[in-house]
Amino acid sequence: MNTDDPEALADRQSELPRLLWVLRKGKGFGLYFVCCNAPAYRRELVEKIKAEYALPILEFDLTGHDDEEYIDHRLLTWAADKPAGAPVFLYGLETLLPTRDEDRQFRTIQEINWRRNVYSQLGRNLVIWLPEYALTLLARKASDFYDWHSAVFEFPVPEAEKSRFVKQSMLGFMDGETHAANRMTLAEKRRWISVLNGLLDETPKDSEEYAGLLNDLGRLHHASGKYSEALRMYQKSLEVFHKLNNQEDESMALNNISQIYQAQGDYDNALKYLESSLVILRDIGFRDGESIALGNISHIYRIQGDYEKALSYLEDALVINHAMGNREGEGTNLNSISQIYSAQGYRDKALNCLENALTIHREVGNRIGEGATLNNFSNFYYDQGNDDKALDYLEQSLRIARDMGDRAGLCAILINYGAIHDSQGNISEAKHAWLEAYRIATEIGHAEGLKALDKLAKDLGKEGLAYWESKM
Amino acid sequence: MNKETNPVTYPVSSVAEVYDACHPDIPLEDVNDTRYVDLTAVRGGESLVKSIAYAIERTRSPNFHQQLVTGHRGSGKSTEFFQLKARLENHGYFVVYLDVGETLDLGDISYLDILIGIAKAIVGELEAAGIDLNENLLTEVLAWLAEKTIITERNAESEGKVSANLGLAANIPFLAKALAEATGHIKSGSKRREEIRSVLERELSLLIERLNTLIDDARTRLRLQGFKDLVVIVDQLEKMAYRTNKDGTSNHKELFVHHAGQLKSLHCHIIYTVPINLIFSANLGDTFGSDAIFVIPMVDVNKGAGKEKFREVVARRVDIEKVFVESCLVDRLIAMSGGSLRDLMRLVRLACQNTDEIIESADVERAIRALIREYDRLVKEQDIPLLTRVNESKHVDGSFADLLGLRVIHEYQNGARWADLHPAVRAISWIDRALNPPAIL
Repeated sequence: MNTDDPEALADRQSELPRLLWVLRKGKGFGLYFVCCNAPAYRRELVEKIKAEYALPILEFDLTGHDDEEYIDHRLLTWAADKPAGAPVFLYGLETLLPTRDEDRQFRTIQEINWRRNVYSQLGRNLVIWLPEYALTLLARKASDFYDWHSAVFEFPVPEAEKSRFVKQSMLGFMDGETHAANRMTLAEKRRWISVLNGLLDETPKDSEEYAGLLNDLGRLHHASGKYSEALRMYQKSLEVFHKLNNQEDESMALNNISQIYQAQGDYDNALKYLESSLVILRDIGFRDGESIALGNISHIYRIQGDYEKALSYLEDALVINHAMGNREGEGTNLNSISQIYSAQGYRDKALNCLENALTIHREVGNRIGEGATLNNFSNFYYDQGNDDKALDYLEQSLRIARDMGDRAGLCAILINYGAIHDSQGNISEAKHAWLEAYRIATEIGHAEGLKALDKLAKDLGKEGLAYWESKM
Repeated sequence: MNKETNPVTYPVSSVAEVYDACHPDIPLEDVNDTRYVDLTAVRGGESLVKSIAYAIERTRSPNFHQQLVTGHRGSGKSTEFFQLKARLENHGYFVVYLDVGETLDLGDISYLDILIGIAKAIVGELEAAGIDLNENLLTEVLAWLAEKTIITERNAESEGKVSANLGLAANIPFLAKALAEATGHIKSGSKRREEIRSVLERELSLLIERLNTLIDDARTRLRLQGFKDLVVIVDQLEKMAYRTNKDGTSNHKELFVHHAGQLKSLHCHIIYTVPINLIFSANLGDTFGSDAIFVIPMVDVNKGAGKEKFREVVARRVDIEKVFVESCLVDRLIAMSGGSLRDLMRLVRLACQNTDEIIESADVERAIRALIREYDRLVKEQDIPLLTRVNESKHVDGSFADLLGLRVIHEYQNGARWADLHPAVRAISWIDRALNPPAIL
């Protein structure tokens, strides 16, 4: 809408009175859409409507909707004993219309198009709140359903308060020590992906905030195993950061892109992006970033079995961290170095590094790092055939992952935990752990975890992931 | 749906009543509804009701008339079907109306679901009319279907829900239940449904034969009751969401072109609604016959006759003089509807919103702006070349399927078939600039 146009302005001011009019005067079933991008603004609007309407409004949120049931079934059952005539505000339909999951999207579209008539059995007004992008998608793809509406109301976030609403809508995303991507369940990630997509429409393109949202979206997709979508987001955020000449975040985007290539096994590209990132970091003298990039480069050489190179990069990183007094970085480097020594068969050196890493992690209170090192301790003893000690360390690591809500970490640790029990012939305990790992992996969409679990099931002579599913 | 305690008498005369009188989503089911206006004359002259009814009456057993119908959403198609149903019933036919959206519990539909759904609807309607089918035959068809589904069930290693029911004597409700079992288990992606389909597909000719014995029996019994024959109307099938298959064809073509043979295989007169983009599918004519698709065009409201008819549509529902400040305001709304009944109803409703006394010019203009904004959401910049083309040629082909589906472009028929932009699309300022670039001085 053009803000300069007096008619457009008048129309915008009449949106709320029109919506209230419809709620009061529209008898029986009526379908309405409300377009609103920021959940925080939506909440405020709904409060205002409730106050002015002064009659009950039923609110139903589809977030986390179980695929096995029709939306209309749930809605009708739920509304059956509610006050007659009270309108329904429906939220969260966008979570069932993910922009990049075409299958899911198609199923929702097919369902609401076919079952359109069932909604009329509600016998009350149905007001569906959607962010702009999802409403447009619905209008274009579920046109049979969309075409039933009697009005669309648009509530763009007021220009002056935009940043407040965007920030408020982000509350809950930034909470906690672990990045949202590592801590949330798949359903939560899905919800946040829709929220962030909506906020994108409220944020000026080519701004820091816009690129930041893209980066967060990338991390959410990344953690859900949606690599190509994550890559797309990271690439777009890279473009914006580059345009804004924000070199620090540009190097972060390059680094994040490299992690996708690494996960896909494309080590050449991963290295290419890491090296570009490194050039920038050195250029701007951002040394903490430099040490992280060096660590990531080292990791790729280690995966490829080039231990010499891997070690030399880590030693460079360690020098930087030491010079900067970055103890957390040192701890992380020492933990990684231990893995190289282990692979090379230098057990004493490996153990020494692990012990130093653990001391530092505990000293600086880096609990995620501590958990990772404890897991590596466990691996170390497991390799030496000392199952008891291995189990002891792993249990400590497990506790931390649970405490921190580090679900991705928890999944990996549980897989190891099962493996130890399995080697001790304690197969039922092993399956128990793997089953929990499977539950987490499916919940958060942990691609690597699922791959490992698929193999484990096949090693057991079963048909792969379907086996775990049948045991759920 | 809330039952009205006091039946409303049309035309209504207050704004609050207008809102409900112009509900865009309720087709007129009662043929005697005073709101019904026959638009045949302004739709190019060919009546859906008459032409299909004649075709059915002319087609004698063992031949059956098979008809595809399509049209823009909101063109009054369902209302026309109710008229057709009433006319055929008056002429002695037993008509089964099947709303696939309501009846079939389906996500991703296949022809098998439709065939079984039709059989189920026939059995259900006969039961409702108190006409008994041959019990032995029912038992046999039921047992056959149950056997097929039980085998699948065992293969799927799950509990034998069907087998638990098998001990019961066959009767119609039970058969309907078993048929539901075969089409059910929906929620697309359901593995079990895929399995049932593949079992039935392997024995397709047997399935059709069984269903046809059932239908033949139903027809015999109907004739004994004095009916001429059986007609099935399968409505809402056009709502099937479009999807491109892995092999490059679409799910629409797969159903209506590749499986046309199966859809035509049932022993009864049958009418299917199909998505509008299929009118561009050359192969459709090969299987269903060249004039097998009946297209319900939009009404050309630029012409005097069309405009008058649309005025009548509004006047049957609302007392124009009492509700609008000036009756010419209705003409504004009619012009902006582009000949779509649904958009006309929607516009009247939009004009009511936030008005309690009488609809004024400002309300009408606001309603029109709201409609324009809604269409603005549907059009993308990439659509400009196609919009330019249709603007100049007034003609559409297969590449316009999406835009026709969105009703950004309307098809009309008076004399010849032609197409144009929806007036609300034409009124979007950036589209207008693209179509009519300022002249270079």
